[in-house]
Amino acid sequence: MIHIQNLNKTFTGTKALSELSMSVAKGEMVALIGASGSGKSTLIRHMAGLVEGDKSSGSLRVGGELIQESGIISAKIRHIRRGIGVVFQGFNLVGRLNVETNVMLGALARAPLWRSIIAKFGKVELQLALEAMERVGILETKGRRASTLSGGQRQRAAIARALVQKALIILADEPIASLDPTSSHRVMEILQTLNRESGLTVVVSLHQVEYAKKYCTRAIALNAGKICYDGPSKGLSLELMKDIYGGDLEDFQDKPEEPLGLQARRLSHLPPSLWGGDSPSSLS
Amino acid sequence: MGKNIAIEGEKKSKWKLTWTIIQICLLLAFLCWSWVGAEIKPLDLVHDAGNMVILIKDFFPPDFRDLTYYLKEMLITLHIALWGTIFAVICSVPLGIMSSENVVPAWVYQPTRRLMDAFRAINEMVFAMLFVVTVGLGAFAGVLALWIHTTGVLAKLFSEAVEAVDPGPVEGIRSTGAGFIAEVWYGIIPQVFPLWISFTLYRFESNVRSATVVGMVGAGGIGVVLWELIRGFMFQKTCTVMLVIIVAVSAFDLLSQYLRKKVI
Repeated sequence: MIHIQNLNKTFTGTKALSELSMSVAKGEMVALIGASGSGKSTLIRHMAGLVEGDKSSGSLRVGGELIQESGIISAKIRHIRRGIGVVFQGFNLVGRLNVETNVMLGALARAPLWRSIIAKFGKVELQLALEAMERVGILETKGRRASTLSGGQRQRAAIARALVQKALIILADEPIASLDPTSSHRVMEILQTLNRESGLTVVVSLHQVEYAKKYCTRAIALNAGKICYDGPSKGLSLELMKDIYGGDLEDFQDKPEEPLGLQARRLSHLPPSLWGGDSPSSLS
Repeated sequence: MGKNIAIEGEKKSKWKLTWTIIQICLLLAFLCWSWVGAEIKPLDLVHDAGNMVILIKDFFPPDFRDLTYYLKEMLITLHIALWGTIFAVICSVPLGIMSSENVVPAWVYQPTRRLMDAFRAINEMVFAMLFVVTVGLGAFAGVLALWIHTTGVLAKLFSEAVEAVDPGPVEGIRSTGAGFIAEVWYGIIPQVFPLWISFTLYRFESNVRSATVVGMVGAGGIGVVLWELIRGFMFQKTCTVMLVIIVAVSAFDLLSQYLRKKVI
């Protein structure tokens, strides 16, 4: 489903991705993990054809279609993107429009121009949007402005938009990084259901290792733009996490006998997302 | 070591002070120079205070005999302002987007911006004089003049709003595979809409004021009347016209303030 050969990306002298090659099969649910700046988001943005790689890059294919080759994005990219649903950390909804319209925007690419301008997409598309909202559990919010929703609801609306798009692949760029634990689990559960029940291929970048272990079968760990682990998510060991996050190994070990506050204070130099944001012991 | 640093710091602050004094002196010199250039003679105001009093006396009492005629002409002025603004808004939407560097490539926004600079640089009065020559005396010349100048102003303001949008929603729309127009329509317009409305109402207010002036060069409306009355030294009538203008402009300021609050 996704096939990347020798992808390179340099941002003003800094190598963000370095000779990266990987494949994802149809129906897989893959977690991309790594510290901030390890290249997770950059990789996902390349897959969506939102950024172009360096000239020295090979080809990047998604769903059999060429997204980019040698740093040149395919001329048909707008057409190809229809099959790829992207979910962003910042939700990227249109705040002033209501939830229903936001979800319907997934149908923009299929609608003729005049219909898309007046936001009348037809009954079939509306039905699709209602079903999508129902599926992610935000149907009751459909008349509200997107900007008034909670983070979790907004992220679910973004997933619903990808469903209306009829995407076969969902690329989620840190979808839960700004959500509380309950909403995070809800969003991950939805992605997992879509993967299991509808056979969607899901690539999701995550800060928190425990979410990767819980919801994804396969994990790819990035460190400084290179893949340092690719295998079952259960195989993410403590040593590996130390490698990836560069912290003190002790910090990742579970110490249930220690008062929670103390441990939290000791962990406070790490990003809160690393220890789940709620309880430090959840990393075990 | 510590002493050296302290001495150096002192030297630096001394030099800084000197530099500040030099800057202030330069500024004062510049202000004096422009004072002479602008031929400002405050004493003349005192000398000729008598003239002023006589002139002001000439304005009163206002002569209301032709009030209905003035009101009719004022209405024409408002029509000029309205249509000048409407045409300008219609043109400014595409031109504003075409001047935004986050939407179009440099070869599009650079020439568009320069054209808008030219529209803006030349005052409505000058445009009005030119259009009076081409389309003849009358209100339409005023509409054309306001249209061109306001397009230059609004396109710039619109594009500044567009350049400040959050790129997130735009990217969200783009990632669904939507086309460029849909991207602009759903990603950008909803974000800039309240600002655009606010800018438009502000320009409408200004255009009501400008429309009274463009009339003076023959481009229709109350301006023509005002010009004729001043040239004929009919100051009591001039006073009435000025009152009509003040009331109308204030009324539109209030109206647009109200509308702006409602929309945003």
